[in-house]
Amino acid sequence: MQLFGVLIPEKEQLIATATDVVKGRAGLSLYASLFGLAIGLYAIAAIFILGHGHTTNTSNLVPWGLQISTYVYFALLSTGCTFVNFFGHVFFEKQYKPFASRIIFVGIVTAVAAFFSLATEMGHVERMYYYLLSPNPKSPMFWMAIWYTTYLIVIIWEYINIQTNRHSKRVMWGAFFVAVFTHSTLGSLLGSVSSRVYYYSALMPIYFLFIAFLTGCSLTTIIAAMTVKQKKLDESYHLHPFVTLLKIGLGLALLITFWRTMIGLSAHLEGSEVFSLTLINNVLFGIVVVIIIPYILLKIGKSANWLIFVGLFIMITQLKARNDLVIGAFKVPLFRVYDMPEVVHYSPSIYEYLIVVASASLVTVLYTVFERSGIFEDRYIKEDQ
Amino acid sequence: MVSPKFSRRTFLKASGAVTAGVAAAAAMPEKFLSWAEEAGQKDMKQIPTFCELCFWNCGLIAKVENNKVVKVDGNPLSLRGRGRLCGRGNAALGALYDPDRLKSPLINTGKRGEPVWKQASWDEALSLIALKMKGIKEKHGPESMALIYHGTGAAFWKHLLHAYGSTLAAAPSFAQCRGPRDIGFVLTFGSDVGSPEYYDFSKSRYIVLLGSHLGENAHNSQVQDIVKGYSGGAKLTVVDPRLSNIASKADRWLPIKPATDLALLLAWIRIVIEEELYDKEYVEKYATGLAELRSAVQQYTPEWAEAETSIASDVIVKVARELGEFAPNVCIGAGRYSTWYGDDTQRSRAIAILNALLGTWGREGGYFFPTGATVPEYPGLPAYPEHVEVAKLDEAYPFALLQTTTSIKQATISGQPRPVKAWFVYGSNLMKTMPDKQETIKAIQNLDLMVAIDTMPMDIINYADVVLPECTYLERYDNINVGKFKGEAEIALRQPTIEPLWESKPSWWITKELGNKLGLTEYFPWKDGEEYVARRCEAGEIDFAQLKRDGVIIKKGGAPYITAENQPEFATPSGKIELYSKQLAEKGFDPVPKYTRHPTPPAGHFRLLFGRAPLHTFSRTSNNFMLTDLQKENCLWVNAKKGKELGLKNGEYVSLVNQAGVIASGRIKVKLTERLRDDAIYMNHGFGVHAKGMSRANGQGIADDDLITKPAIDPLMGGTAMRGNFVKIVKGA
Amino acid sequence: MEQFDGKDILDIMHEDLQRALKKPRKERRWAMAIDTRKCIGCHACTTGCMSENLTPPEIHYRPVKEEELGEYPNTGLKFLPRPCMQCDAPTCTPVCPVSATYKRDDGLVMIDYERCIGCRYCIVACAYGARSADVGHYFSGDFHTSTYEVENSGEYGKTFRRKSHWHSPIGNARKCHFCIHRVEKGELTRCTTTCLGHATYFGDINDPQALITRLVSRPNVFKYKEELGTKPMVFYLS
Ligand SMILES: Nc1nc2c(c(=O)[nH]1)N[C@H]1C(S)=C(S)[C@@H](COP(=O)(O)OP(=O)(O)OC[C@H]3O[C@@H](n4cnc5c(=O)[nH]c(N)nc54)[C@H](O)[C@@H]3O)O[C@H]1N2
Ligand SMILES: Nc1nc2c(c(=O)[nH]1)N[C@H]1C(S)=C(S)[C@@H](COP(=O)(O)OP(=O)(O)OC[C@H]3O[C@@H](n4cnc5c(=O)[nH]c(N)nc54)[C@H](O)[C@@H]3O)O[C@H]1N2
Ligand code: SF4
Ligand code: SF4
Ligand code: SF4
Ligand code: SF4
Ligand code: SF4
Ligand SMILES: [Mo]
Repeated sequence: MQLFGVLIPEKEQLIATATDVVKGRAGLSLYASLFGLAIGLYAIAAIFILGHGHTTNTSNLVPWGLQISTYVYFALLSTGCTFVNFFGHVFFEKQYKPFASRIIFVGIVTAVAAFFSLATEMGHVERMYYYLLSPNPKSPMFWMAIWYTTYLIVIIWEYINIQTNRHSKRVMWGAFFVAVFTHSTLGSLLGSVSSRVYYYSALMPIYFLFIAFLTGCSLTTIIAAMTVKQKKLDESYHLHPFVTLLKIGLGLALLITFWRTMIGLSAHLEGSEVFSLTLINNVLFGIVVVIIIPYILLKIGKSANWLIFVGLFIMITQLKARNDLVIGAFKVPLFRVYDMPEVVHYSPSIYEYLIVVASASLVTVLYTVFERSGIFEDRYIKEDQ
Repeated sequence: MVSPKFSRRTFLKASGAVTAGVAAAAAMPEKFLSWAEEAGQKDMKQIPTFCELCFWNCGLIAKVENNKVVKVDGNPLSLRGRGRLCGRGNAALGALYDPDRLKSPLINTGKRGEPVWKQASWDEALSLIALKMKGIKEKHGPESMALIYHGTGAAFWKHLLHAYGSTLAAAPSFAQCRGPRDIGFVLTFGSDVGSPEYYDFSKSRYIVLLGSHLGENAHNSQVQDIVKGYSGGAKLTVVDPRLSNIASKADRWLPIKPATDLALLLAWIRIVIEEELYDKEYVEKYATGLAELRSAVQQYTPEWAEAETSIASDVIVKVARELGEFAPNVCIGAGRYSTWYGDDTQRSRAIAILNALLGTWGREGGYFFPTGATVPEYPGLPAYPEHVEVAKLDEAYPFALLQTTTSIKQATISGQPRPVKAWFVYGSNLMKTMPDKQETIKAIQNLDLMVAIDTMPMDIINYADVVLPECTYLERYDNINVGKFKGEAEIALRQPTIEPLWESKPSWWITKELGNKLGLTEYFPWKDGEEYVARRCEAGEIDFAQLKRDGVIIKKGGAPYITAENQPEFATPSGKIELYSKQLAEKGFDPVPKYTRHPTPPAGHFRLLFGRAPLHTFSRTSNNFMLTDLQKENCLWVNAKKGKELGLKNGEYVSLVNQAGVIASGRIKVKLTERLRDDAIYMNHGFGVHAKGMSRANGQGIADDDLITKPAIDPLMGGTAMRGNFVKIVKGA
Repeated sequence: MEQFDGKDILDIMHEDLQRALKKPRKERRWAMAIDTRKCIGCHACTTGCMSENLTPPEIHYRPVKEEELGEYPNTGLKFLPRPCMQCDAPTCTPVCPVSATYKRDDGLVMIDYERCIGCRYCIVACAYGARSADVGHYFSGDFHTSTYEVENSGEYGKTFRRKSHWHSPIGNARKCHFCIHRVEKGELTRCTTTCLGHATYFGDINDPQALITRLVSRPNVFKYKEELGTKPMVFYLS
């Protein structure tokens, strides 16, 4: 199968980009992302060289912090892309086509970016091979790994099919279902933790899928909008599906967030007070800012630029929302002794923030490089026929 | 501790001590031999020694691997610990490996209080001290040099002091701690209650504690005994304005109004006499002054006591009757820390009298007669120089049977009755230990020489001219330690488990070197610490090899209780238990304790109470990283209801000012609690350290000692009353 | 009831222990009992454990919680020491992706420091907050290389030196392990031998004569958070 020019840019294209970068002709966004990637990689290196003790702010009270939530966030983005790809193909064939390869490609790189974060969170990532030597089928985290690998394979396959214009419905459906399984497993990873009321909930898997869908929609909307602008396509025609999907996404998010909170509030288990503790934030931020406002924004305008803004708005607020979800479970110490605070406050270290930058930059760098190489243009597909 | 007034012999008899013909106990029991090798630690050495994180001195075993102490464990042979270490003792490594430790001698080139440190060699530091000491001796006489000490190593410094020609040595553990309690008992029984105390808690059927917050006060074997006592069925009544750990275990907690214990005790005495609950035979046989006592306590009715103490009269009566019911297997504990309100010796007298009436002295479950042991001095030491008579500093306190820090301080300030020109402060963080900090500073500013011998850069070193870094208890040979217990005595060895870190040195070495520079070489004949200890053992026919191996040697013998054969002797003037004290009357004091009301907090103020944190020893452990990891600061206990009225929130920081307007530096975290009366506040002593070198302790919490000013002084023995201050809570710190 | 048939409880438990060690491992069932009436809140077990296992800052295998009950003057106070409960139905082991923490045939919940990838999932999953992440802090700062902090604690009967974050147990989950390194050498757990209240009992509850078995068969026994169905092997006597 032809690799260069179809799956990844032509060698010349890559060299051209490289020289542009050197010559200072690459354009602000690429420089910005490259810079982000550089400091991100520095942070990753620092964590490995200095150790968590000196770089991260997670602790016994807050064992999981921004690195885990970043992992979750990007994993969900990836799923979202797969979903959009699916619904796009199924319901909006024509309008969607121009974006298909871009979106599924982003689906892949976000999935990879997620690992940046996960790897740096582990105490001994160098021992990951024990997943194979001594797997524990009881552990959602084990299944997480299995599904995740499968998921990556399938969406790469889907990408290949799209790029080589041999798009197969079967693979597309496959990708969709694997995505559903993978990320509901991720949900169950938290949802099955009976000791942490804030996680423990049958809703969690579905919650993850809905949120995945929403974040995916926002990211893909941005991609679509940028593409539309750049290729001077008919905005209202091509972007309409995304607005629809976004609205559905917001609706689903509202539904699930609302019920998660309500059920939590009615619980009377040890540590349930965290729901009342976080209520204000969950309502003001988790519902109003994250869902209602974007919805209003969508009502205000439909132009490509505006949609890019709305997309970014959702993506950024979602990142905080994911972090709130992950660390919410640790607000109330399980066993409060000595100088422990009554309510635990955790703020990520600079290194932890840089991990987010690293993952994000990886996505933007790869996307920009691929994008400017024109690999996503349909002409390839034509030639192939 | 015993008065020179009584002959040593009678005292030893009185306290049941035996010195000859007793068998040594068996060696390390099999059950602990497995210590010898542990998983992956085959080459680990097990070196027994004893703890100095407080003055209980429990036996411990240090596990040493490639010249590092890696663990400590209790020494099962130790009578003070019985194989167990308390929360502090287990943190030995936090003291040994504290990077903030004093590392080399320091000379203060700045002012006292605003030190500018110059690192010095031992030779330089000791030469400087020796020079000054010679000068002071010429100008003011040797007696103008004082030693203020606390801890095992002090023996060497007392030796040096005596060789130099002075006898002026005082420990804060007398006038700031146990003094009143001990004197009260000496006046009554002719014997104090010892340390470790002779309380027979484990066999008691009824125990009363006043204060004595055991569990927080973590004196090892004593805590074990009282738990054994109450969990074995003994009834427990705890009198404390605060629900202490032990109070929470009691059948009865009496949240008494602070400073009124004497009223309660006198009421109990009255009931015990009036209802004839006392041990007639015992009192008849061993005591004098019942008649005088009876008439003296008539006024103290339960109803009167209720008004004073806020404890319901019927409860007072109930307890008194229970005491009678369970006597003599009753222990009304005399506590330990007792410099509370200024009439403390009399309170202690009342406790002693009540015990006497119930016949608990020398009875099972009451106060046992301890078994003692002696280790001779180093053989062939020359006699100390002829002691020149000089004015006694404690004239004002006729029953100060030990030298008080109080009068040393007064004399240093006033020069009366004679000047005191040099202080050696060994193992005492005086700035926090003695009340009236400003007075202490004034005294120190009057000195020609101030030397601090310490392990840590504590508050005290900031006022020293020269600081000498002693190595910790895990790095040195030290004085041999003898403990008196029930039916057995222990002789304990401190030996180094590793070489001293940095430039720090043990006291035996420092004093020997300083002695040489003072031309007192003949007083320090020992080659080294080991030889010093070995020779003393040899002289006392103690198997040094066994002592080195086991850490302690147990001497058995001596009858703990009164029997037909084992009749008690009382080293009092009358040779009997003195319910009525003629010697007190002669000196113009109340022969029977009299109650006088203490002032109560002015509006908006609380009485300042303090006590121990289970995980700390005063300021001693305030920088110990294993302990600061669990408790790094003290907090201010405030009655929850009262606190809410004042709008205080849990965990908020406040500052404190006392009735005299003295503001404590720093801030303290509020702890709203249901465990405390609403007329008092409470905190742990030892925090609020003001010493830059103490990276973990400096400025953590507030120091009770900052707020303790103008203490009442116990007229009998010079104890400084430290719970007489009232403080106001200032919000927004 | 410090004395049992006139014998010191340490001696009794020690004999029980030797008896248990003679049996094949899978026939043993280690358990602990803590008498909350005898527990006097001295925290000796907490620091004893720190000393035994060379635990780093903020990691305490056995903290002691102090709970106030009621209102002044009818105030109560409860001390609750918390080792790892060595649950029979733990919430920690099932979540471990690499089976680094697992239940051994004698009921102990082990952590294989060499296998643990430090994902911290078990820390999140433990209902008792009994697990901690060793992120590599030292008490003695830069001085740590010259102190005990890099020496071997002997945990799990193996040799581990906390030399850097590449060396376990740094990067691992850590918790109370019933001092198995002592127990299998015939010594009682450190918290048992140091307990000032003589409130901590240890032994093999498969042995009907063992002191621990006699104690936990009494009516006054409760288990902490039993309602979670974790089947703790730590019994509290009240
Ligand atoms: N962990 C630890 N243990 C220690 C020490 C340490 O530093 N740390 N220090 C040791 C030393 S040297 C000593 S002297 C002892 C001291 O320990 P104790 O001899 O037990 O001290 P007390 O002052 O008797 O007890 C303090 C209790 O007295 C209560 N109290 C305060 N005012 C009054 C009052 O007016 N009446 C009554 N009835 N109670 C009152 C307080 O609320 C507090 O609970 O502790 C020893 N043990
Ligand atoms: N306000 C207030 N004052 C009090 C008390 C109180 O509760 N409140 N308690 C009183 C009582 S009961 C007592 S017993 C006294 C205790 O008074 P101190 O014994 O003075 O108490 P610490 O603060 O422990 O001071 C111990 C000093 O010895 C040092 N040190 C520790 N180990 C060694 C060693 O091995 N060698 C040498 N050379 N130095 C060492 C420590 O660093 C510290 O500076 O305080 C009394 N004063
Ligand atoms: S009581 Fe604790 S601190 Fe004091 S000597 Fe014993 S073990 Fe050491
Ligand atoms: S207490 Fe926690 S760590 Fe221990 S076994 Fe139970 S669940 Fe696992
Ligand atoms: S932290 Fe270690 S023991 Fe715990 S779940 Fe992860 S791999 Fe297993
Ligand atoms: S059993 Fe051992 S590890 Fe567990 S708490 Fe006790 S001392 Fe610590
Ligand atoms: S050592 Fe024993 S008495 Fe002390 S806190 Fe621990 S369990 Fe309680
Ligand atoms: Mo004391």
